[in-house]
Amino acid sequence: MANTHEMSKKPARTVKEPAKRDFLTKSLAGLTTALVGFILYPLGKFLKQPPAAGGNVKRTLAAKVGEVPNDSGKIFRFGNDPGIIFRTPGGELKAFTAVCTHLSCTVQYVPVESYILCACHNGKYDLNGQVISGPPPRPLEEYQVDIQGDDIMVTRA
Amino acid sequence: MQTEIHTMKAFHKLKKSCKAYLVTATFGLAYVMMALAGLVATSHAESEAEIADHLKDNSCVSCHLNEVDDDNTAMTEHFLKGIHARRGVSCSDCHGGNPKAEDEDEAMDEDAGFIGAPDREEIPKFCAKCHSDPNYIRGFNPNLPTDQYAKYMISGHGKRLLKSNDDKVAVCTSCHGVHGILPPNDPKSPVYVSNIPGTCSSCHSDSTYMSGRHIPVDQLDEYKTSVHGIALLENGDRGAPSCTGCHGSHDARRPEPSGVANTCAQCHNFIREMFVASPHKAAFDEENISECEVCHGNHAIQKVTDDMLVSEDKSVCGECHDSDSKGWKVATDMSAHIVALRNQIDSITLIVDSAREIGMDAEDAIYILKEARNELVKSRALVHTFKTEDVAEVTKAGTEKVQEAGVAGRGLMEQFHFRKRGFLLSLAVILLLSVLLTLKIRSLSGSSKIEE
Repeated sequence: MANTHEMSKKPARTVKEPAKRDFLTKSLAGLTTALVGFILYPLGKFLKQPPAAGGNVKRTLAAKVGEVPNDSGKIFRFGNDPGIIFRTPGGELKAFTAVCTHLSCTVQYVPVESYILCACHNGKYDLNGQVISGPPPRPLEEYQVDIQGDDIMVTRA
Repeated sequence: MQTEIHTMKAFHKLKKSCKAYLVTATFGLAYVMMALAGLVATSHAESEAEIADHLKDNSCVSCHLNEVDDDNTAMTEHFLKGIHARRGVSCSDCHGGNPKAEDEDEAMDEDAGFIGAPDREEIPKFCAKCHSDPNYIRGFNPNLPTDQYAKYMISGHGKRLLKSNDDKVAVCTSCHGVHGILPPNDPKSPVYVSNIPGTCSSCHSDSTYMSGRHIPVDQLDEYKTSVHGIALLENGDRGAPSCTGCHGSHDARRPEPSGVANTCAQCHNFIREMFVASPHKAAFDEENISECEVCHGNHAIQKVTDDMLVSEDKSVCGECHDSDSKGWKVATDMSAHIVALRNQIDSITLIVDSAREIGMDAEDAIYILKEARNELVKSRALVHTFKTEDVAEVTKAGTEKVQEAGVAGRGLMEQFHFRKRGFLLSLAVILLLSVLLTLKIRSLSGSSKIEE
């Protein structure tokens, strides 16, 4: 009787074991996949090029050559501040900080008249960044410009 | 007897000549020794050496430099450091006399043109002998103006000197110094731009000296607290106006009410243009009110605040406009637009700063916020149009920028929380995985025992 009881118990355990093992295996597979995902997602984010560089940027792409025809200007982002690049009526490319030295508004190039204007208080700078009139106390900081292929690169000291 | 007198005179003349030669020789020898000792190594000292060379035969310099009288020695040393000596102008060019004469009486013979020290009221004319002569001045500096005397005579100082014989008013030497006059671009000059407030205040802040003149003596104290004073005296911004920036220098006087705005417009031209096109212009002209001054003050011009439009105690609009007037409504509306934009910028700045402090890359949001602040600055300037719609248009553009910055800032905070949740979730997954792995290992070892 005792043997019969033992015989009837053993087959019951062997029926449950594969199901339990199957659940465990599937759970392990699922969690391992999730873990791989948790590792790969931030890794992918890290490897992806940031959209814009901030802070202490020393050099940046200001514009494409075709974007700045004679007697025109363009505002570009240089780190956390705007920069201005323009081509004089004579064809010379120049770049300066676009932050007005008065109250930090963004300046702009004025075609035909050929000067740099801060529209906030009508501060005017010449094409060398020197103050012509208005309240700006200091000239604009000039950047170095060089062309690499189709790119106009700007470097600050 | 006559022969004796003649001999005595000749002896005295010879004695004076010897003295002059001895002084000149001593002066020259001292210079040579200094040069050998390397004491004239700097460029400034070299220029003094040139002066000494230029003036070494000048009996005014050689005698006065070695006089027993310390004041005269100091005066001569002072002169040698000044622009006149450096440009080759000698004592006799101003004071007359004969610098080549070895005899003291002959050198300072009034009959031969020696003037000596001019009376105080004669000083402007004294300096103008050269400084009003374009042909003469051109030989020294073609860019130096020659209208100083003409301007001085229409100045507050010049008028008092001319009409009232007031010998306390400033003359040329009061501001420029006397013998060691330096050019205005020399930082040691009393008329160097950052020294001007101190120079003017040496008289204008002296209540005893200024007594009876019925003008205040606190201009310097006020100026020091002003945006212009702080810019010039604390921040070293030489573009900021000193006293002469608004009052003029040689033609210094109090600006007329109608001229105040033009004075300010030397720098703040845009504001002037807006003001002239506004309804205030005609009203101010009618009442003869100083345009900029009535709201911003004069010597103590402070940084503008939004409270100047509408507030209980700082509103300058409220000084003239009643609370039920059209003008007050315009001020209130303009203020509402500006303050709303300012508050939005402040609140988004807090979010962006928080994002940056917790290590998020907030550069984009910061850049956009700067653009929004641009619009805020513009809108504040546009207050001088006194048109609500002009202000509203700019603040609207600013609001759009703030909203953009807000999206970027909130996005950063959400990203931070997402990362935090992701970290906790991955930690939970790792723990669960460990538990399941343990169970799996146990189940595998259990089944292998059964098989055994």
